Amino acid sequence: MGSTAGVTDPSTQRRAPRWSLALVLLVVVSAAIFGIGKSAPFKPSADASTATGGNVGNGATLFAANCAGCHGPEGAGGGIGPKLAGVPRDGAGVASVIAAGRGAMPAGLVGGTDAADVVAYVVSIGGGAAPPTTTAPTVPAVASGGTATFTGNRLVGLTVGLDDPAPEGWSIWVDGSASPRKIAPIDVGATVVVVKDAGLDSLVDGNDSVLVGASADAPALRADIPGGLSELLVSSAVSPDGASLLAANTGQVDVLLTHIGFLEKALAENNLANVRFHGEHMVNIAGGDPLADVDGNGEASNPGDGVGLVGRPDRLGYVPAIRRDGGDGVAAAKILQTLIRAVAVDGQRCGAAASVAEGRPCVTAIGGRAQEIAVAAASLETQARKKRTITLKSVP
Amino acid sequence: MTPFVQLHADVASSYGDIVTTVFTSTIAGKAWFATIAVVLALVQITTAARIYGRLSGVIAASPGAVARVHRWSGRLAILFTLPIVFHCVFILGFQTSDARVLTHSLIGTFFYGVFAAKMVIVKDHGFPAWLLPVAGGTLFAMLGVLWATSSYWYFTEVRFGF
Repeated sequence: MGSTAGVTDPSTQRRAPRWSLALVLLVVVSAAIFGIGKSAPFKPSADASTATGGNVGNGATLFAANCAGCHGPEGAGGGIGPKLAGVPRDGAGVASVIAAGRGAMPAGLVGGTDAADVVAYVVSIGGGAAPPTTTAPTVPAVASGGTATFTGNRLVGLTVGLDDPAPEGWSIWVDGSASPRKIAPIDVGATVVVVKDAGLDSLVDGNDSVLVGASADAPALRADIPGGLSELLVSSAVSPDGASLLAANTGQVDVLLTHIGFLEKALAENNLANVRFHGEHMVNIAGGDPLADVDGNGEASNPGDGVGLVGRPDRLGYVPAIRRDGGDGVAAAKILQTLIRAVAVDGQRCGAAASVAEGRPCVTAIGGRAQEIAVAAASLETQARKKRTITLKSVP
Repeated sequence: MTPFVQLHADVASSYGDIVTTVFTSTIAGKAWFATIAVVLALVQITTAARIYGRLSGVIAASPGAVARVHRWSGRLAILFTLPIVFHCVFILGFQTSDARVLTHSLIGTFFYGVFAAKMVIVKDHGFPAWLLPVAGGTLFAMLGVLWATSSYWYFTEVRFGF
């Protein structure tokens, strides 16, 4: 049975879509989210970090039983945990650490009112809670991970993730063998900090490792090293005097090339002693200390700096060190390393040559590699100066 | 400290305590929650395609089963976004520090609004037929951008781990 003309069957009637409802919901919900987001009602404040309220006496007993093993009697330090006595801490932060654990400290060592009592005790031995107006609650927002980006030896970018939203007044610090340096402020409540260009040439250069951390001041960073990140290194311990590893390598390649020239000159002058002498130099510039007396004149001679371009079995030379530190330079470093090792092998033959004629093949072979070495060294430098990013690891 | 401030501190602290029972940090938890939501959203897209007659050769399940999977994957996906929205909106707030953060904040602001509108479109059959897949696709794309500007960024730039 069909519907009569002009009359619509209600069961098949297509109701008008509720455009207005959809649009209103879209606008209202988005506006509500935006409004809440602008106010961020649970963003941590300095005031919120001072709450305590437990029983200090009971907290002392609980602390002695559960915490003193690591933090020392009365929090005086001496164990694997940080010193707590005399270090003002906010109650909320202490409570958070007790509940969640940190580093080697297991979560929930004490709970409920016991936790509140321990918090009160820890705050009390720290000298009381940090006043609301200060900007230095000292339980750190632990840096949980991050990356560092380099162009050559310059730290051009730093990203650090924090375990907890940062309190007011904190900064990212970088602490190497030089004095700790404040790199960037951290917004209150931030859990990730991005530094566009830390601009650190000299600090990173020549340091074996660098600690990155978040704290209100440098001493706090040092006191809470478990909250830091390591592996921020572009240079190496093999680099003497804190010089740039790359610059030192380039300089030593120049020394090698110069002495290859001396070796060729000695051959051209039919000077056996100098063929042997500079052959020895090939070995020692390549291998570094301990030096070898290849020519048997009673003196181990080395015009280089003693580090060695490719090193010896117990030492890391410049080239493998760059290869280790600069991931982009691996292929270029392998080529350069192979060439220099070949020069050292031929240098051994030259250094022990019984006659100029015997030395001719090894000198020719070394001379033939000079151009390749120069090209490979330039390639390594180019690769090592490319932008690269390394992952920062939590300090164990 | 006022009771109001104390309450806020307690709520935020409790949230952190809960999340860090599983994850090393609240932000790591958030990154993984978002990842789970994206995976579930992929299930949403796949089952939606099947509902619309596509992928019939790929998904052999009955239409009823597909519809159930679609509904539950959607519910779970939204469920997993709830701790994220609490952290992002209530604790961190709307931020504009750089293009990534600004993009994340803007898309995040409209995500639940689009979701609410899409639910109206799902329930009301009076809308044009093309609108529902457009709304669903938009929601999926927004979630993808939110994930890329947060979880993916965190995993690649900060730390990959729980």
